[in-house]
Amino acid sequence: MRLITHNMLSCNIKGVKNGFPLKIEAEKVIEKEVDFNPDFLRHMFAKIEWKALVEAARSMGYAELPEDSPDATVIESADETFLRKLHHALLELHLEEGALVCPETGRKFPVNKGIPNMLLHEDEVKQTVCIDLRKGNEPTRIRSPKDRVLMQDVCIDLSLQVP
Amino acid sequence: MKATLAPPSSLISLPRHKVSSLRSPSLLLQSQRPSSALMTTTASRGSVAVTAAATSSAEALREGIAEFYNETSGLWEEIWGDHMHHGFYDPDSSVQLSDSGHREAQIRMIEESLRFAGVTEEEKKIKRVVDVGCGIGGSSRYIASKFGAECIGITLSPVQAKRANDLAAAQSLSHKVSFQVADALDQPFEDGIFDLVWSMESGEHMPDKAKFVKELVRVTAPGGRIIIVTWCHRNLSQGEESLQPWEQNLLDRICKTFYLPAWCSTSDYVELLQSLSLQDIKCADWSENVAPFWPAVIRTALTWKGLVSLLRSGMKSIKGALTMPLMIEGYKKGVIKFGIITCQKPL
Repeated sequence: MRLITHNMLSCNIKGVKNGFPLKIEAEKVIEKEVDFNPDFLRHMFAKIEWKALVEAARSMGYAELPEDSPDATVIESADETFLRKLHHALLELHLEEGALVCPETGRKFPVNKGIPNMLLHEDEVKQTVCIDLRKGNEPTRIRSPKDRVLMQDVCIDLSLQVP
Repeated sequence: MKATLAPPSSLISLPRHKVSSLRSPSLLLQSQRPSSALMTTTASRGSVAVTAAATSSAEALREGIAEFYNETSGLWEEIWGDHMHHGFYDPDSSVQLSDSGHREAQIRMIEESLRFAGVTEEEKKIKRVVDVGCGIGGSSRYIASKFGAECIGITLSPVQAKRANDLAAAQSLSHKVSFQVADALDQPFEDGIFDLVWSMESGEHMPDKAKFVKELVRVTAPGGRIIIVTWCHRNLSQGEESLQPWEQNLLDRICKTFYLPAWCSTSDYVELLQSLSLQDIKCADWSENVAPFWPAVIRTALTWKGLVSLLRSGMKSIKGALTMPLMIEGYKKGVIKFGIITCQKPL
């Protein structure tokens, strides 16, 4: 997982308000060379959450990025020193093994062979469906397609006998 | 487009279904039914809140989907390449296409979908894309290259994520695309970060269509576009509450082997998007444009290479292959529709 990806991932366990950015526990970091493409970096720069990137890079052992996000003149200038640092941090550092940690709950999302597993467990997911059932096993008139679709999936699993 | 396919030959008017007799495909996937002990019910007059029962069936489905694609992705890629979706063909094209013709059709599907959504003029604005249900990343790599954008793909299958990343590296696209294991119903992203939200033939796997659409909308940036291309059942007519039993039965048999939960219609998606205040909502029925696809897939399965690969691949692949004629039957009888639904999030 590279930091360009990390910069977009967040924890969305139900109830979590501040799931971004995920902290990094780095067990194995490797560097893979990638062709330098300044235009791509300039195109993407506006979308990067800077503080999150600096912190993440530090967790991966790279502390060359400035604390504060540079302004547009630095990005657009012909001097590519800054862009090369950005390139290295964003695209060439790979978290191969480790974990991404939710800043609010401490929940760890494992990273194996460079792939984060962001699947939530059953109890972390919002999963409540309310169905109105009339008496005598008759399903209620379905008012909207949403009701019908949910009902088809969930209603049957209940095999409910409504008193 | 020419006239639609003929309606089903027998239309029986049926009494209202009772709850206990409705067949749900998601039930078929469970190895055991949830016991009443697992169910949490809040009794209030006439209303029931379902928690555990719904979650355990959703978990089983998720695992089933992951295992299915872990097993079958390699086989598909070997024969069809890295796009795991239908090709787009001119209607009534009777010319039998070569393999490369079909691959071109799969690329055309991506281009036609982008065009339908009105995306093509906006290259510069697209910086971040999410591919929901990304397979081995064919669409992601194509779109990232086309727009010079960053694309992130999510799939339930670790095997697919790994393969997708490897292919990206081989094509020198690692800096633009990445893939992770995540659930489309609980996407690991902040709100509003994607300029383009892409779901190419993954919607049919989502057990909760409302939640699926809500998540797609949540992660779309203001002004961003959503493109959903998916298998649907036909729209229901005025007053129709559900499909005919024979139609439902056909779909159930397909659901079992392809790990699909209940189907919905294109109109259902449109209504969900309307309820979430999306604008410029468009939809179309592309069933005639994909008609050559399943016969072509069956032909490749019946080649020597296809048969050997199937046998090597395992039971899930074999069962999947045996189910393909049902897809053709579904399309022919007007039960299954290939739908595209696109929209834009207001600024």
